[in-house]
Amino acid sequence: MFTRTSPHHLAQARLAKKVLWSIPTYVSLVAIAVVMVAPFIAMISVSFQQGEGVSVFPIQWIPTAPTLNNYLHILQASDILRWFANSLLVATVGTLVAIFTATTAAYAFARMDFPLRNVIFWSFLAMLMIPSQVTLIPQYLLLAQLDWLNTYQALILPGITSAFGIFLIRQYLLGLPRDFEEAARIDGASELQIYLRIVLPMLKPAIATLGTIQFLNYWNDFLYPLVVTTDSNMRTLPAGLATLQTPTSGLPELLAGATIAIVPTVIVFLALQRYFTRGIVMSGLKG
Amino acid sequence: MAKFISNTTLYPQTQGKQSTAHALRARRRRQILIAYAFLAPSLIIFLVFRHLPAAGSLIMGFFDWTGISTPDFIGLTNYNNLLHDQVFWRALGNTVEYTAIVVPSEVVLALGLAVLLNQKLPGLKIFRMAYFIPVVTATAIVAIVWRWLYQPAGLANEILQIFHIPAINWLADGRFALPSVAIMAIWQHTGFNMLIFLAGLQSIPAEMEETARINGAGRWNTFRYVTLPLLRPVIVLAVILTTISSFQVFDSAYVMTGGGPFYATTTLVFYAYQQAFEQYSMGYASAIAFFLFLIILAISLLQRRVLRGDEDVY
Repeated sequence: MFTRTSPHHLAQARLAKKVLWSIPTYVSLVAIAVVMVAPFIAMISVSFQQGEGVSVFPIQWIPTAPTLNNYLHILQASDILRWFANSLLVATVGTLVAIFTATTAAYAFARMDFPLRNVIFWSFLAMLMIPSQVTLIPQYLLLAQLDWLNTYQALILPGITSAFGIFLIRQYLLGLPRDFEEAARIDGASELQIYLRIVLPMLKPAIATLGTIQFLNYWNDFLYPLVVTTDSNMRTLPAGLATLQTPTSGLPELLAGATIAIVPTVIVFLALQRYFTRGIVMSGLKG
Repeated sequence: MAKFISNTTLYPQTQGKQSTAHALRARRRRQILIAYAFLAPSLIIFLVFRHLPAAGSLIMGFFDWTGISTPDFIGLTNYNNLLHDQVFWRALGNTVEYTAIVVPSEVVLALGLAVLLNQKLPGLKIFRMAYFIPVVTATAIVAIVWRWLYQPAGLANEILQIFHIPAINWLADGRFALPSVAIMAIWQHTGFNMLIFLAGLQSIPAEMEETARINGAGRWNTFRYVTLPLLRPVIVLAVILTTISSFQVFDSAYVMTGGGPFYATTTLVFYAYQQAFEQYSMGYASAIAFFLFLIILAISLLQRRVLRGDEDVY
């Protein structure tokens, strides 16, 4: 009787209840995780499967005789290496330039006073309301006029300005004290020196966030590269792989290609998880 | 007289003031110049690749243009033709139907996942990560994989078989094609909304829920009458963001169905793409795109309206 109501016993009962409650939680979490990951596992399994013809069902979740033939074949039969290199180049250069343009503009907006500041700022933000598909056709015609279709500058340029990025960095800067900048100014530093030596280092976390989002946008973009490139040599991974005619390469080969495209993204995501999730939530909350 | 005297007596000083004013003006000019120098890279690219095309899309809607020929001003003809274009209405209907499937499913599932993951239990981080993986992958590539899973002999039908449901021709049957595309979108983007809800849940002070529990409210009632009302702004946000992105669906339809069968998955963006880059009707396509912009603008304004009263909730 006495022991039954002891605090120790109560705590034990509470713990037991908690454990009991957690079982259905874990069961549903595992079930959902299976649904989320299964398409990727299926893709990877079949990409290593010896498969002639179209039907590779039922899926051998663990291939009985794993082979690299599908990978060798897609590497030979398509320009996938070139697409991979294009994607990497476009995303890397685009992201670096985007960081440069967003931080310089944000520095001006947050720390300097100049005529038309608010007008320009709002005209940038207004572009968030216009879906990229709406500006796509005039962009295409403009690039055609410049004879820039099928060039790297066409793939990179329109994406390097990010209203969201400028907004993100500006907000971050507004939350930082100006003390270091003022001190440097008194010491005779130029604005460029202040930007390079003081502002950029302070912005590191915001830049990491912007960089990951920007890279992902370039890496995953489909409609834009599909429209501004027609030459297979200039396609990015999604645009190249998705327009690859299935008859020319069988399904296992295509899935090997998809694996080549998806797995690096997932690895980078897992490595930089913190920035990704924070950035994506922030880009979602921009509204 | 006094004025004159004071002026003359103060002359040297005024001289000094004038030159300081001059120096100040020069400094100010320099500051403005520096500011614009910092702004220039963004400003130029915005003007050329954003502002100009944005204005262009509005203007082009009034022209008949293949992109190569001379543009032909035709007033509102494109918009008038839209009203009588059955494919356009079908595309609009498909887009609305797709949105009506995707938005409620994604938001409810994501909310459920967020609540599950917002507990103090070991190992939940791994699940959060797993659910987020589809979000970071390219839709066009994921669609290649799903196109294959949806094959008549594919994994999707194998799963139906377990529940003794007869096989479906997922992508080739006009009744199922659009829902099939929508299912992939739900699978891919639920993790995104889940993160937004998790952020929302974590910003709710734990004491509010605890107080409710201490006062005898059950788990469900606490959720229904304490958590859910506090989450309202986040839910509105998730609904709006998902609606806007659903209206822009293109990649999955392009890869999985090519808009078919018989226009069953022709969405607004897909139709604009076809008109512009397969039919070379740049003007007509611009009119469709501008229509899309109006819809998205309306949704964004609606969001502002709905959220206006909620400022104090957070």
